[in-house]
Amino acid sequence: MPGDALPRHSLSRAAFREFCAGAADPATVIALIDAEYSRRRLLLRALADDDAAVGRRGVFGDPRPAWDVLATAESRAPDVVRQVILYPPVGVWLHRAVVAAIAGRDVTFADLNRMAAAAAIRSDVPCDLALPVQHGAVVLPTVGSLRLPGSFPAGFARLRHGTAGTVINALDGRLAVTIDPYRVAAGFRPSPIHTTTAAGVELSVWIDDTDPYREFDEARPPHESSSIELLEWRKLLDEAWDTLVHRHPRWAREIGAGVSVVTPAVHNRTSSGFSSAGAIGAIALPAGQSVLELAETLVHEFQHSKLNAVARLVDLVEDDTGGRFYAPWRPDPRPLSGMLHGIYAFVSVAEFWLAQADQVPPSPNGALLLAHRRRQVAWALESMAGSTGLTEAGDELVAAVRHRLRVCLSDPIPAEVTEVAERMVLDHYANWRLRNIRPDAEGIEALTHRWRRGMTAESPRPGLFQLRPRCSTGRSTREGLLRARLSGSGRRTTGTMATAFGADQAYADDDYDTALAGYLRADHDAGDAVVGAGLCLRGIGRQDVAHALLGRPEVVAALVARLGGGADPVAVGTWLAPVVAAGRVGAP
Amino acid sequence: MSLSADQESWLVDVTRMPLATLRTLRDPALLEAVRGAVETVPPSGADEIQEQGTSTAR
Repeated sequence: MPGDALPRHSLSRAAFREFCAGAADPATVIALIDAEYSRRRLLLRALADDDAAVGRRGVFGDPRPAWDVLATAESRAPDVVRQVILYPPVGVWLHRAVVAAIAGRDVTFADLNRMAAAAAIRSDVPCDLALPVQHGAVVLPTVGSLRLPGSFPAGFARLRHGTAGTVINALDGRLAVTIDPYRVAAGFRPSPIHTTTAAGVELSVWIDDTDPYREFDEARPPHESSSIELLEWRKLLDEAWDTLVHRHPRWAREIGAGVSVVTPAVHNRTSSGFSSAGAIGAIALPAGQSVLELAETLVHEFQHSKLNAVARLVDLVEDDTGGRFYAPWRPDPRPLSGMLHGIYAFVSVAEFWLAQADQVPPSPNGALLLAHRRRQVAWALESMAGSTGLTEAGDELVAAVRHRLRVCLSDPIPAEVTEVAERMVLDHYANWRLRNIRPDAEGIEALTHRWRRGMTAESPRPGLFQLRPRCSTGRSTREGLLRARLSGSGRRTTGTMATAFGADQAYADDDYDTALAGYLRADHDAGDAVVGAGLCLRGIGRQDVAHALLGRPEVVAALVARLGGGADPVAVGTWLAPVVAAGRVGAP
Repeated sequence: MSLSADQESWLVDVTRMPLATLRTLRDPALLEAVRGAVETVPPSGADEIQEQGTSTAR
């Protein structure tokens, strides 16, 4: 096949525009998955190249036996091989293996053997392959998992598939298990698959609770759901799908075309949903979500999958190293590519709640979720304003998000709700600055000097990012109390101003004077005193001082610390207000 | 991407190329595509996990 004749994937102009505008047509989603299929096959080629394979040792050191099985299976059942190679956790392994190969480390093809064995069983191709035993289990993607007696941290078994059926030998041949890939028996469980249909629109997903890479990071032990848990997942998926198809049909159609795996997350529980560029089409979900929350999460996470796929065909960012931006949903500064992910996913979530707005009865917290998401996206767009790292296509995506946001902003929401959303984002922003921006040391010294001599303040010098490992901040107490107040579930507490919670409770009750006194107590956390005081002063109407405290909390906190007992956050904020108020609340 | 026209990507379509051929073909365009695919892998091997922000708990 001459090189010039090799076809290439493309994304049509119309498809890109449709992608920017929101839900994609299923045909576009399938085209994106086709491209991912090519990419994975090319990565497999990179790993299994004859030259690269020379000299590799060990049971899983040679990719050729598995490759030959896959090739034979493909000649018999190409759709099966496509499903196996595209199986989302396979992508996670591929990425890790490629990096190992680039680094010159030995690549283990254990996972390639798992793929080949799965394809052989499903296409009825004879094979004899070694398989990895991980945490006492042999896991075959899209087929099922065999739990061996005992608990093996690692090792290997042997799978033979042929006219005599499918047999897995383990324990140096002392254990032989004949499996039926479609029946639960002898420690084997077929991969749970769930298909649900509403109004003729289908969702069919594997519920993956065993693959080592199902949570997208390091290899994890299997965690088989109980039959009751699986029933619960099935019921939840049915109901969420019904909601999506009837209330959000365009989102439903793209999700039906693109989501293939749902993972009950057991190791990562700090968020309501996860996805990964390496595992396009998979969504990890902690248990315990409501139907609406699950529906929202499916929409949200699939936007990431879609954007990850598009970004491999279309350059959206020219330079992703030059900037770090404020993302109102994250504790850490983000590069441009991360900002694109955030605004694209969260404007979709805002649209989700906009479409829910006329539900009868209304969704609990639906108005707040809409108000919060649209405010976050607006702030993120402001944070990105002036950045020069986007390509023309990236600019077009941002412009489309801006347009979609305008529609969301046009929805009337009660003032009390929008005010709560505003308080939440201001709180988040101020805490983000405290966490991520280190004030300029010389600038703090200069301000200290001026304060002590009774001079007016000078404009604070820009700080520096202090990039920290990814950390989870969790929901602030204030945010939780505000949400509870709005939903009517808030309860008065007996907390006193001697506790941080007491100040937060007073703040959530709009008792700003009491809250301010609590935040300014000497035993209150210094950083939170600045943010809490800023929020209270905003409530009282002292906007200029509030602006200084919430817009430059890291400067105020550093000055208060430098001045010792000589000043409190309000005094310092009042002093800084004339030079900070004119500034823009944005990047450092 | 040009804003006025469709554009082919760097990504060669090998969805229909038999695996047996894919492993052995030394076509320069294919080898270039293999290199391009490798470049899509993050250097750490671990893709960033996109998650709903920590301030989103309901």
